[in-house]
Amino acid sequence: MIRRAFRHGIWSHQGSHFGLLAGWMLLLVLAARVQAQTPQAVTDDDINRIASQLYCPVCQNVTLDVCPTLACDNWRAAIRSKLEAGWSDQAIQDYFVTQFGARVIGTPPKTGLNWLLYAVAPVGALGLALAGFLVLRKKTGSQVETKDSTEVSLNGSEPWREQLARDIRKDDSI
Amino acid sequence: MLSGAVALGVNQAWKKETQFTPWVILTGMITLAFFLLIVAFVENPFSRIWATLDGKVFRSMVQPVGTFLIYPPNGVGLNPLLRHPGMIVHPPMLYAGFAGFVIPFSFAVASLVTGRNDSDWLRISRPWALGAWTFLTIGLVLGSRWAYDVLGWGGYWGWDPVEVAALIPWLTGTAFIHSLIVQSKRQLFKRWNFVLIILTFCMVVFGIFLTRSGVLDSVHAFSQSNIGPMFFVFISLTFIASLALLLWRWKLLVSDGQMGSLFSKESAFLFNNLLFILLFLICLAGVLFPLVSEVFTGTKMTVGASWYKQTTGPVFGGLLLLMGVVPLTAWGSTSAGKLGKRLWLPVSISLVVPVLTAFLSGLNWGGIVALWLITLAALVTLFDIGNAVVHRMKAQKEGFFIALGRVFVRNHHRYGGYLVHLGVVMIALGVVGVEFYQTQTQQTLAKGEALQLDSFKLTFTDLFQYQTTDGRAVTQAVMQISRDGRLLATINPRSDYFDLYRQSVTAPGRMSTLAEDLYVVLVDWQPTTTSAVTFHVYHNPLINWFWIGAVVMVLGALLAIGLPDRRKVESS
Ligand code: HEM
Repeated sequence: MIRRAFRHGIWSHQGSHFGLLAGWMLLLVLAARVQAQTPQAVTDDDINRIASQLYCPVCQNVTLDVCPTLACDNWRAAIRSKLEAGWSDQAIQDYFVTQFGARVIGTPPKTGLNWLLYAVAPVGALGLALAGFLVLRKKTGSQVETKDSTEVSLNGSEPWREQLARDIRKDDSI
Repeated sequence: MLSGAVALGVNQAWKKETQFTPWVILTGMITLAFFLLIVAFVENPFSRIWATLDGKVFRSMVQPVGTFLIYPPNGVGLNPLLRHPGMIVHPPMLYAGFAGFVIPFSFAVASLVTGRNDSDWLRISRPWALGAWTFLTIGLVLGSRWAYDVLGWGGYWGWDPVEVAALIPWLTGTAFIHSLIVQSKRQLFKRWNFVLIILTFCMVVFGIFLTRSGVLDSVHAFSQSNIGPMFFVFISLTFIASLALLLWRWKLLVSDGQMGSLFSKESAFLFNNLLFILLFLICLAGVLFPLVSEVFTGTKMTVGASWYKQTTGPVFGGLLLLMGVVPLTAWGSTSAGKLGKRLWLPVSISLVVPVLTAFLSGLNWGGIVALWLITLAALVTLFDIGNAVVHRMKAQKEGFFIALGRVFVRNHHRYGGYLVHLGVVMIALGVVGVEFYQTQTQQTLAKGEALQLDSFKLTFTDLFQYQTTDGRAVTQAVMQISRDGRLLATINPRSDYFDLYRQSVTAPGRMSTLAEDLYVVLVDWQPTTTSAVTFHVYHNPLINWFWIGAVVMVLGALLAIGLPDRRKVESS
């Protein structure tokens, strides 16, 4: 590939273009590094974005963004300083998990025993769908067309009269 | 409360079903005895504090030998977080709901023991189950309102374990009040109804245990006690005994009825029950998982709102869809073609709302689908009611209001139920507003400065502090809300510091309209200069439909219960 590039003269004929491009890229990388090092303006909303995903490690089921204790104030301050230091949201979350354990996140990580929690909905849905199917198969054997007293139609067709007659007879016993 | 419910239940059995009476008395009394045992010997609210001369302290109702009574100095009063009007009614409502479900359970046990194959136990249980369900609903909604007013996180439901513990019997109870309709109308689901009431009763006891024992980390954990083992034994015994009874009568309880077709009303009820049971399984797993993980890994995992929202969201969507379809189905057989014919018009009209929403506020897919389901359910239910009214007006030559009133009164089960559904739809509207369209910001402002959230401008104009006679140090801000230069409201977000408790309680400032709430929490301020104040502002679209929906739901449930029919009582 590189040899082909040589053959087609990218390095030779268009050498000046390539130099320009490389220069630009170097500049971009440097700029990004400088930006990562200078403290960014971190807003309370940035902090809350992360704090709302973390549970206070010492309180009763409260997320850090709304927890009123002094300890939570300090943890919010820790989030601020890490954001200012250029940490990503995920890195900060991981930091809290390392410090206080996986219980600080409201969505347990998909590992080990936690899979049990994630299996409940799909397995439950499948099991119930199967149960429903079996009931329907067993119980819909004979398709009896019953006169329907509570049938409703948006076109106001025949069953409505029966419905009305029923209402008037006040026949709503269970 | 429980003894009152049992007394009323027994009285009813006495009048209507003498064969059931001894068994209803026995089941009610065993349940009552269990709770009295706990109150008398484990968690006695009347116990006093006694001390020996060598300084040992005991709690007991009667005086232990060689002790003297200690009078503690004046208490600190009720936890400040609980000083909310809703809290006066919230616990009794939940417990009235819990107590109410004991009666249908007792009748179910009575029916099983006496070996009856009919639906009499359900006929007597229906108003009880609906009443208990209504109380439970009121209790849950008041708890939500308390959280919204006091906890200061801009939401009404945090999927906290104690909240979920109260929701679980509500879910199985809702499944039960639907499935019993199918047995009454079609002689189906006979065994299933027993399963559901047994489950609901056990979940009631389980819910009380979770709330009162303090085994779960919860913002609602205001008590801790040693009632765990006793509850565990009681729940296990009840569950095993009632299941054994059911298995004993299993063969007898053959459902004679047939399901019409996949698209019939009874199938809709079947799907309804499957979805409620799926929700029940999800909630039970979410509540129990922290305890399971603690046993196996030593870490009590947190199962937070995000997990619940991801897993329950689609199931609630399914319920809304069913609610939209069910008025168009019929008992017996409804063919796909027939149902399709009835559905196309409301489906087409209902699509207007999601399309408009997408156009106005972008492609928020979750919100768009939810709004479509809500519109469909509302439209079909309203069509149904409207149709009945119009037909009555024509056939009986009645005025609109008379016809409307009579439609609701004459067929109060059906239209009470549909009113409940309209309430559910409104609640769903509030939920969608907050879950999919909520915006928020937290900013620190100096006096005179303003922040912008969506189209609202909130200007911080003043902050003052004062001491109240009931021991609160109040810090109160003044904020003006305007839009397009027009002043809409002035609100006062507050923070009350309770000296005795060393605890702050937020009182958010709110501007409420049918379209939205602007909910402002006073987060922090400079103690001496009070010049810079931090506010957390939430814009909660449609939230007030949640509260309105709750009221409609309760009114619908009351209508569905109806007044006792004099003629029926006299003839019986
Ligand atoms: C959160 C969701 C729901 C709630 C809270 C709810 C609640 C209720 C209540 C309280 C009643 C009155 C029952 C009575 O009169 O005994 C009722 C009636 C009814 N519900 Fe629901 N429901 C929900 C969802 C559904 C769904 C998904 C279906 C679909 C099958 C459904 C179908 C019905 C029907 C057809 C009635 C009228 C029964 C009659 O004709 O007497 N409901 N509902």
